[in-house]
Amino acid sequence: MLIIDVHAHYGEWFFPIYRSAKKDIEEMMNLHGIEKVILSSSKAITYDMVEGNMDLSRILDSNKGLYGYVYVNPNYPELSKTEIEKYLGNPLFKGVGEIHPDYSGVSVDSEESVSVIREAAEYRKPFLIHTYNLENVRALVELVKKFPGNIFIAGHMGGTVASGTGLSWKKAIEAAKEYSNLYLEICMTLFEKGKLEEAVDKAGADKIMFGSDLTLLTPAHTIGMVLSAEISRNDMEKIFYLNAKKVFRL
Amino acid sequence: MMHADKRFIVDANTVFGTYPKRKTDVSLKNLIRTMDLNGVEKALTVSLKGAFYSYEEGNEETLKVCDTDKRLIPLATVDPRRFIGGREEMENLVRRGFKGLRLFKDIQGYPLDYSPIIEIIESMEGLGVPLLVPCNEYGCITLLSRLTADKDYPVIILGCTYSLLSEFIVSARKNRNLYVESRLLASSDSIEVLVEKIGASRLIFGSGMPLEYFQASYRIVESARIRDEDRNLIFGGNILRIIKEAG
Repeated sequence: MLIIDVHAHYGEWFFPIYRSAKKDIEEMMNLHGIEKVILSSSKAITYDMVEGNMDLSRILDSNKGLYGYVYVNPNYPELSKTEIEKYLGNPLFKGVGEIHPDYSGVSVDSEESVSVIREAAEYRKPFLIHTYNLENVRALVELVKKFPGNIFIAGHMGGTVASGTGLSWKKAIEAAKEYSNLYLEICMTLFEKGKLEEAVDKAGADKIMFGSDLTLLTPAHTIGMVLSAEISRNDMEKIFYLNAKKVFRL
Repeated sequence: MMHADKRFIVDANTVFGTYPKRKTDVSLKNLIRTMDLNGVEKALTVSLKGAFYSYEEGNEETLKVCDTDKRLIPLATVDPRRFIGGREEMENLVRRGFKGLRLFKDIQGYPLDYSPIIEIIESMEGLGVPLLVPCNEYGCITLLSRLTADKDYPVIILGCTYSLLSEFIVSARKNRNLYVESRLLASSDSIEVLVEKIGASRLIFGSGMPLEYFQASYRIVESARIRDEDRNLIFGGNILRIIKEAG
């Protein structure tokens, strides 16, 4: 089964992760059957937006299936708008992301975030938004309502709450069911059995896309979750490949 | 596709019972079905009754279940919020056939620096069975390593992620008792880094099934760029040795 990975990263991490170079990404794509990957810069997310976006732009290559997201940091709205103008018209950049409220410290429905997103929204490319708790999901839903003509993807599908109740991913699933412009992306560290089945059952397989969080995580982890899930092969194909192909026009 | 049934797999992290926090099937029947589906030969298991309700009743249930299916290896648990100490209780658990002690710190919410835990760690000296402890926050492995450095039994860290990897490696170099479960070591090269830095003999495969998706943890190890003999140690060789030594 072919795979398009809509949630991946290029760059270093502040953990003992050493397979993060372009050649490592290509090797992992080959190993796991990933045809195309959409990357955001870890440097842009965790440190320097401008330098990170530039690093990323240098490795993108459609012949190798390497596409990118422009990262924006709402703490720097004007600079973010410059980054959008610089990259978002480039066909190798397929969207905006992974907008990360935890690293920037700014909620995605804040005034600063909305002004940046409004600028990017004109390009009609999808937004990948990090969601790992109930507050993240709530703020994303506000954006989804504010920009009904744009596609938003809940990165990590709402995430995992420490209590083990699954409340945040359940909330994300409900929101994806309610709003036609909200999709779910499924990677995370802890995979509670039943979550993908519930997402397919409630939001529908058409609203779910495969992401790996490569190189923070190995694609093997999330591929394993999909293959362990009690869902149909048709639904797996939509999740692994077909939905992303359509949404990102790949 | 990667097929688990080509390997001899012993899963060091399984549970059964009921799960009160959301609707999901963690029944014994589903555990057995998931083992069969994925070609798992043996599983260390423990009743969730001991984690959520009564560890005494949970332990009885675990023993009973493992008596009826020899692929299941019983782990005992105690709830430190109820446990008021005593070497005798620990000796009795081992005498009755439990092959290790698993704590549910993640569910029960106590800190590691907690008198009943220190008592448990002291009480296990000389019994020869492993202690399995979830550690998912910074400093937990460091403290556990310090508390068990002079002990004579293996300590298996459950739920270690890439963010705790350096803490584990540095601790494990100093404390030969420390092992780590592979389940959440999901970064692009966690398994390779661990094998290179401390050796495959310190990694133990666990899946968390049926509460978690088996293939997610299986494929982390199966796809790692390590020697096949190291992979086999992780998938079962190491935990079998530990259990065998436990008697």
